[in-house]
Amino acid sequence: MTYRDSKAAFGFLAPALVFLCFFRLWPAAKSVAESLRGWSSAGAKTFVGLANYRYLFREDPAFWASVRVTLKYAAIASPITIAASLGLAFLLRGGGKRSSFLRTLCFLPSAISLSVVAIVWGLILDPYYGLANSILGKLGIAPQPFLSSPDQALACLIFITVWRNAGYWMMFFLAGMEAVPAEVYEASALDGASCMQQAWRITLPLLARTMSFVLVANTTSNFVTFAPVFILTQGGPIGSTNVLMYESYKSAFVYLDTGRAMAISSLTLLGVLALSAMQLKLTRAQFEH
Amino acid sequence: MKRVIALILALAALVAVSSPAFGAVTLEVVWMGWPKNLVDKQLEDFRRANPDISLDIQLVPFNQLFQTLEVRLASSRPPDVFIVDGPMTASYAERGYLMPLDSHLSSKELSAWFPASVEACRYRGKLYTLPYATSSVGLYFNKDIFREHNVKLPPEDPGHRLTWEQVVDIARRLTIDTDGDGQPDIWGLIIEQCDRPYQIVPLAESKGGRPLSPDGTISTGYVNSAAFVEAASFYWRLFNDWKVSPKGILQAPIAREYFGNGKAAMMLGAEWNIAQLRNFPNYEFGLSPHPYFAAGREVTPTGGWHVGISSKTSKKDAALRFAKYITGHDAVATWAKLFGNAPARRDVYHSLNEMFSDLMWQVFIYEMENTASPRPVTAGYLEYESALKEAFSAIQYGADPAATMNNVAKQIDRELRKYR
Repeated sequence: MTYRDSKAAFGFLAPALVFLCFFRLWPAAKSVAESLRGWSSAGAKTFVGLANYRYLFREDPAFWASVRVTLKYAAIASPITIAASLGLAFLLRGGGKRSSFLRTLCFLPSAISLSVVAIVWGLILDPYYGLANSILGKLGIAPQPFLSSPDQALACLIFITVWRNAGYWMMFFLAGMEAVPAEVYEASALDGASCMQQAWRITLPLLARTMSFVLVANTTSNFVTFAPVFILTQGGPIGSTNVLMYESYKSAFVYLDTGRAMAISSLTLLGVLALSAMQLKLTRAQFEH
Repeated sequence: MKRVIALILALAALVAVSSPAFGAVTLEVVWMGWPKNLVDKQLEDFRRANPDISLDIQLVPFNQLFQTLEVRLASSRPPDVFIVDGPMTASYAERGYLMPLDSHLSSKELSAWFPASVEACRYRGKLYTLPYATSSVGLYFNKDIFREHNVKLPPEDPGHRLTWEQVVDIARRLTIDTDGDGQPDIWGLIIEQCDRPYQIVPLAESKGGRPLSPDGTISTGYVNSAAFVEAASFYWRLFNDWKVSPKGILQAPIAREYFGNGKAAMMLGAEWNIAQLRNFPNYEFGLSPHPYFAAGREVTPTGGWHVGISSKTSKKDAALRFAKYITGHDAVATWAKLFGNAPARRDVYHSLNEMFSDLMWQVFIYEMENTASPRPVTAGYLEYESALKEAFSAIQYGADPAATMNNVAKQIDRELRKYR
């Protein structure tokens, strides 16, 4: 690439870079700076160094409980979402009116605002008068507490996340599948490969790049999930859905402890960066196909 | 050409002068999310009398109100006037969000309110808010459900109250699964604000507990005292042992729907339900004074809404005019009739004598005069309330009462250190 080319490339990238700096990097830097400030015993806000981090690591069980909830949420929601979206993509690929109608149907939940999704599911899952328990009752199954049970609330949130996101990530897999040249399938069919063999030996390996992107983007979004928790459970019952972003929000806007809130956000950012780097490294080896 | 321009200018001037918005200041008001049609009705007179002030009223639902105010007040352009939950006066004043009002009110104006309400508007000797409403809580009951199941009606006259032990007894008899699906269709007792310290802390106070250290900065030894833990255990048993109350009904309007539609036999609720329950004409309701523990004190919740003016407002005069109007006799009387909040002004009780001589109102007036215990005064009230709210919610869902109260005491102490 010549110097002129790179200058032109930079020109094209500039608007996006400006937005990135203003709306992502600058707030992130501000939040790291704010995490180093805190309340002195005299009530004034001062530079406290790493005191907020020290507190989180050494004497803050609420933070660690929240870390565990977030890890559990992401560890369960991410693979299920990916498996579901990949499954849908396999079922609904190819042309035809029926599959394009079904594709639209699957994509619809992700076109609805997350707040609306949360409120609707909140009504469906109402333990006393919700639709879900009426259906279970008709099937002879005992009513479930759903979001009002510490044992079921997180599972309900994961279900809602998967329901909403599977169709969205399915589109990426479908696009990836479109990019696989038809000749490869034709050649393998001549060699007598079955559908399963084609999917396993051709489609999946050639989807490595898409898979890598979906894995990283989906895991990241699960780590910073907030809206459904805010609307449906407020971190409860008994902290069972108290994910890190909600804990950080509470710290800032309910307990007026911005130092701790920003320390939690900064650590989450660091964690997500590390995890993404690891995922990219692990999946990169397969790009070579 | 000149003539045309002059004509246009003259017309423009005429239109500007004749429209009511000419030179109008727009007052931004963050208000409690009461029904918009009622709020509009209450403000009709103000709008008519003050054509130079245009109101931008933002109604925020109760559950989002305090977080919304936190964000708005911390910004560089806060609302000019905003509703303040009484005990938050100290918190906002401490952080410089409120304009001091002493020099803007005569002692005659101040004497219209109950002294206790005016006291709740002061922080460190200065007046920061104006009283809008006060409140009280009692035990509403559905007479039809009681009669149908042959349970004796609770006392309805001021000062004669059930003990909590008796209430549980009744609630257990009136928690009924009518269709046999294993889930109660009528609950014995529903609590209107079932995780808010406003309604729950008086349980501990009835057992002799104190909500916070006298200087408002220490919670260990108070919210985890024996009295608090006993009250928390009682609360735990309502949901998890006796199972007379439904879990997870954390929003007051939903609790009211349950009670109003005959899905709960009793409701611990505030005075505005006298008016609100008129929306449910299918049942006959009664009101018994707030229960207490057999060996304990008679204590009832109180306190209410105030009105504050932002220290940053550039529209001081308009803001003052509005704040005085909304806390004045006419607006408060209108609101008492429309929504049913207990006025914080003596003169409204005189002018609406007929309304307040009703037996239910007499119960609440007796409580406000004799058993009311205000919420603690602390600059960290938001933190205190939020932490306790979370703790009560966890206990409701089954968390161990003693351990939860110990943890929350520690948490509140960390949050309050910034005010020490």
